[in-house]
Amino acid sequence: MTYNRKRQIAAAVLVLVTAALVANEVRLLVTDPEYDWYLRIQRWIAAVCTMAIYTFLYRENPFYRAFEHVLLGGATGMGCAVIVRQQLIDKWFAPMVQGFRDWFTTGMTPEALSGVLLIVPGIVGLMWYFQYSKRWFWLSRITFCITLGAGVGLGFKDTFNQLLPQITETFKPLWVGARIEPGLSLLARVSLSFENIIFITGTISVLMYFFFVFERKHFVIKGPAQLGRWYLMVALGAFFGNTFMTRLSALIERVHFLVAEWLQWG
Amino acid sequence: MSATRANMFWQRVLYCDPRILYALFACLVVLCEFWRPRMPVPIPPAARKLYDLVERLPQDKLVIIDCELAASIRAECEGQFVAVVRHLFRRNLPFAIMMWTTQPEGIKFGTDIAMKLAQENGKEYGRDFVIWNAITPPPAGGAMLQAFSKDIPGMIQNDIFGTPLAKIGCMRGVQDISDISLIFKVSYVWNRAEVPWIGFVQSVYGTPYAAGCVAIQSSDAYPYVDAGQISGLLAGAAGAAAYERLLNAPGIGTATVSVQSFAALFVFVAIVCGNIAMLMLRATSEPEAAA
Repeated sequence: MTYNRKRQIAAAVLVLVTAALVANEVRLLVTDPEYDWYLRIQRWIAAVCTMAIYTFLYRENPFYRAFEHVLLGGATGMGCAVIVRQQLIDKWFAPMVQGFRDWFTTGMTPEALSGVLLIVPGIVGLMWYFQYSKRWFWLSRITFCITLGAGVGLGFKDTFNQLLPQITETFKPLWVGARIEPGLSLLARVSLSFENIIFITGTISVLMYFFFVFERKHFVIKGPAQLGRWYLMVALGAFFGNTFMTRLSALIERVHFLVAEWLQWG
Repeated sequence: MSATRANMFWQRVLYCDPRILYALFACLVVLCEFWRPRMPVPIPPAARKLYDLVERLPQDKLVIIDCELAASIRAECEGQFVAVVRHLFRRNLPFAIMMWTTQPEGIKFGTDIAMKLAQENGKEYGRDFVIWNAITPPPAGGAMLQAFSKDIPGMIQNDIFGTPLAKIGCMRGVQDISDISLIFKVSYVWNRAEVPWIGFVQSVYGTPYAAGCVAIQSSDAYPYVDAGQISGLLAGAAGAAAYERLLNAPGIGTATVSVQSFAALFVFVAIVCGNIAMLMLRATSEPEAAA
């Protein structure tokens, strides 16, 4: 098929699809007594955006690229607006101004002081910008040190609190006897013990896999490390399966939107 | 069929244009929109744990729903959010919806859904539930959560409509984290770095923490469920469907998971066909190479 012929077919398909969409919209306008223009325009915009992004599945095209940039621009603008509005103004500037106002009207009350003191983090934060000056660069290091110190402290607490219970959780009995779980039947105990053995074997073998300080020549190291690799492969397979399911859900939701909400079929 | 023709057939299968697969896949999903298949929904233990926990919660304490619904995760997490809110309404448990403005669309989605469900269940805003003013988590959100745990009204101040929390019925008596019976987070991840509930609230104060997340993130969450740090987990649309089944109220989750099963079957068939084609081609090319 020649290039011109292909273009003619594509144009014909486009015209037909557009006609069908217009006919569908007229159908809704005529049959729906609660036809809402505002809502319909919103849905049309959402549908065009969705389909523009899905055109990438056919091939890279300017239509897709344009909408990708619209999305990125919108998200960046929204991010900036949110930071300025919700954080800088609401959490810092407005309480600070209020603090100064209270100080001048009612005197230095504890509430006024807490507002006035907000000027300190403001100044410390602004010191980041000394990074652009060779002469005053050292001042930015003060802010850097405060941020780093606070971040490390909080991070340490978070990591410690998250991981410690998991480490203690790995101390599982290989045989769940009657003393450990008195109410369980023998079959349940065997099953629980089997689970624990798989769990502990997995933990140890995967840890062995990540010992890179000595060569894996001896079977005591090599065997568990290889088993650990298998465990990791199974885990990665589970990750992939879950990833597929998440992406699939997004597709199903979009198809539902296009069919049920935009076209209002079915 | 001659060997060459068979070879050509398997080559076509193996090197099939992916766009054909995309088209077939899209057709299948669209078809499922019209013909709604009903698939059995198993109940994972982590979803059952959350259900049982909500059943046991006291009615004089507040539940916090940390709602980070975004357009990208709505497909999986909306069902989880709806199911849990429905359960809280059914049990007459007061709850507060909390939103982070890093996901600005979450505010709209969360508010719309909660208001709609309240209307359906005959519940009243302020008396039965509240939507807190959205806050932006700083990069080191742990400090913010520490302050939040000690003084909730001081940290949140107003609801989403600008009403001070002191004037809201279900917020009376809520001062600190000891007045909270459960934190349920609906988000892409089960524990976001900026809002580390487990490290700064659950592990410090022992407040039960449950999560609803997308399926991708669920594999990471299970060690926390085993260790008791997460008291219940709804993983993806399957988690939402399981919870809907426990509530006996099929909804978005059940509908999504049924279509998902069919689409997964399609992909499974495609993978099997691809592998058979590869084996068949290998079987025919090896004797030729040997000759």
